[in-house]
Amino acid sequence: MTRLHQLRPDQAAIVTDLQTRGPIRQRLMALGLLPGVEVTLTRRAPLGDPIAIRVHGFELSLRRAEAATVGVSVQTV
Amino acid sequence: MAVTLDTAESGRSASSPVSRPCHRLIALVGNPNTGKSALFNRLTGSHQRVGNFPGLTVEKRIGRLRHRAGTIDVLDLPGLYSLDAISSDEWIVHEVLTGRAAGTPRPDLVVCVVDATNLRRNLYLASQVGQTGLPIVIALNMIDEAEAAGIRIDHAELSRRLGVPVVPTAASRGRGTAELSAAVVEALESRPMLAPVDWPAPVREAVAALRDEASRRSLTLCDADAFGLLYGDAAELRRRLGWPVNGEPDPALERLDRADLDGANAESILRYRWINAVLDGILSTAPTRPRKRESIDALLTHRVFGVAVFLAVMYVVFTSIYTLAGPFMDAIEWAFGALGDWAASALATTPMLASLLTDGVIIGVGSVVIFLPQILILFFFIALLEDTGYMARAAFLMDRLFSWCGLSGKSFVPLLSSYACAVPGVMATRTIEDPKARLTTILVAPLMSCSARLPVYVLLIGAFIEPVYGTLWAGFALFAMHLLGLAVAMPIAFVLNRFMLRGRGTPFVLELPPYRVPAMRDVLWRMVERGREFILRAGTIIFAASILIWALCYFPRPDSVEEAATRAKVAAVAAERGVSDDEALALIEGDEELAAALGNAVDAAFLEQSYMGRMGKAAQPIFAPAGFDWKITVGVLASFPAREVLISTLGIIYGLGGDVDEGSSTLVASMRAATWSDGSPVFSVPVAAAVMVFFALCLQCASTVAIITRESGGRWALFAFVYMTALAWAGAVVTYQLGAAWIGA
Repeated sequence: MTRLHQLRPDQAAIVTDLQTRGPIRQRLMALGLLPGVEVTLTRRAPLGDPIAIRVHGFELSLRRAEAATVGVSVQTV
Repeated sequence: MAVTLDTAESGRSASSPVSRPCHRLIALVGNPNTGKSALFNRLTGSHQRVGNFPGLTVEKRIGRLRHRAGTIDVLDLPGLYSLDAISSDEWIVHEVLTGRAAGTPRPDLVVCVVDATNLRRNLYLASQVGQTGLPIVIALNMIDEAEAAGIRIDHAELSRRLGVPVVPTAASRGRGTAELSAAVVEALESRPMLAPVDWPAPVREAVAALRDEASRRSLTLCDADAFGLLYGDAAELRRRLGWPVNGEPDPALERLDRADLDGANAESILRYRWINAVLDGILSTAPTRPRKRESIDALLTHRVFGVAVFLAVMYVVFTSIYTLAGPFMDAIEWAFGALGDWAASALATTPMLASLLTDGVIIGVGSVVIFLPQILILFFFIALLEDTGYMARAAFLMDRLFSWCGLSGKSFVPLLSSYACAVPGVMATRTIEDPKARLTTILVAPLMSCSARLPVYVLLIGAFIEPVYGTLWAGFALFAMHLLGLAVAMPIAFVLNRFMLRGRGTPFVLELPPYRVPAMRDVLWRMVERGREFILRAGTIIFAASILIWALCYFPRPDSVEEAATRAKVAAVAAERGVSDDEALALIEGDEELAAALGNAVDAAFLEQSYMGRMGKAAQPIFAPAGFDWKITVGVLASFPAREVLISTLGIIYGLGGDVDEGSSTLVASMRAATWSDGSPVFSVPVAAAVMVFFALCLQCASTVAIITRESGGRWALFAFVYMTALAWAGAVVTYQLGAAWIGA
């Protein structure tokens, strides 16, 4: 299963599930990162952490560890 | 005019209950980056004040909106994404809206500030706020940006579907403010409620069950609280409500679990489903246009160019603070110096009052005002960087470097500013959202080698390192001293974060907002705000500390000490010139230089037996392992309020008067000549190094302690003071012992 932080830059995917419970999950879901939603990894910081994603038309920065809790499935063209 | 209106209305109120003199409270709630502050400024103008919520570091901003019908208090609540709070700074919004915040009455209405370019996400919070049972008006802000991006919103239809007024605004351009005020005034009477989400039966049953439990405790529970117990941090909310937290599973939660509508599956999904239904047909976005923003971002976060731009920006900010503030600070220093001189001569007949005014009050006020130029410049840049959206990119770049030790990507600006002065640096930590990272940053910021330490380094390196080792090593020593604090800060932050600070950090979910041209008015406003806040909140403590230190150095002041010192000096002059004591006295009174020398000798004697001097002598054994004698110790202690005082204190102690600076050859000579009772020099290289290390690591700045108190509370300020003093002592001892052993060998 692919995790959000494993996407390549500008690669779009659909969120499948959120692995952990607790504050990270709460925050991500409140921001709209829900199963079925399209998400794109826009870029990574120079050291690979954090990453920037685009969801619902806005851009978010997430730490790698936080992004790793989001399972995604890559959209095949 | 308002007065006439009020009395007229109160005269009518008996017969027409609808019109009452308005003195209501509304709250502004919204996501971060929605222009809420700009809207607040437009609504309230200059009628604002900033305070604190008790026990929290987040600021409480209240303003007054004047309207035909009276005045309305406007409370600007912190920006957040969801009422499901994670940090205590976020809980305050939930508590204010449910009427449980101590010292803050429950608002009569909420204005939900919504970002028109991010409508979907913003309605999430609005939907939760609707559940607090308060009437709502929606300010559809940044409507100008939405229009520019080709986003079209049918706000009339949206208003109908939501059941509340929706007012398009563009706060930073001044659009829509009047309409919003009018809508608020009307809504305070009509009390429009937000249309609720259509929750499935099990959820409604669970809420009903919780309501029953509440009524058994004679309480009413609003939906927001019920949902908090079902989907939020139930344990924390129960604690705050004062409900018992028993170990048994909650029957309401079990009901949800069985219906597969628990936290993992329900609230967010159902809310967004509702939002999508509400927005269906109302919201339309233009086909994707070429993204200029993407290419700017690619540049600014690029591993080479991005970092280069970042360093350039930081360089500009840092040198601006250092150089632009300089002339202003000199002017302030000159002005207060002149004021002090005038006061001294005007009150020459009452020496204690003169000293209190000159060395206490005027210096006290001056030491507050002198920070203003740096603070204003720094916060001008911070507001500029934030409003353009660059700050988020900078934090994005830097985060990896900082997050491992509990700091944040946003810690860079505060830590960098602390290299000039920790007072604005600590204030700058407000930009860090995560309370734990903010506190960690505050606790290590004073380790950055501030400009007040520089005179101390220059004096000691110039006097003791350079003559022995040459200019190259002297330069290296200066650089090393600046680096020491930074090198120590990160491991210390790691230790503090791991072992001392409780609580989880909040997730580092940072929005990267679109690039915007900032409205200068808002940038300047924030700058002025911070300056005013500093003067009012930290200024009082700094001033009080100055008076206290003055008193410790001034008292006691028995005449016997003056007489003894005078006699000793007269005798010394007599012996030197080969004349009798009486003739020497006449000589002294006639000669300006000799009279000044006598004055210095008396001052030195007074300082030695003052409370501060006695403390220095008493504390000397503690500092003996670091090689300090009592004079150095008094100097160190007297510098606790402000580091640069070391130099003038040493000047006084060595009988040279307080007007010396780090370049004074007389001071250097006195220090070189200083010996212990056995004849060995006091200031060897290891001792000089130890003193510098002490100053590098110690929190000797009443102003910084004051600002930490204001930002994090007295407890943490005390902790910072204690740990840094211990660290400085340990560092000085190690430096001296190693140095002495190395040189001895």
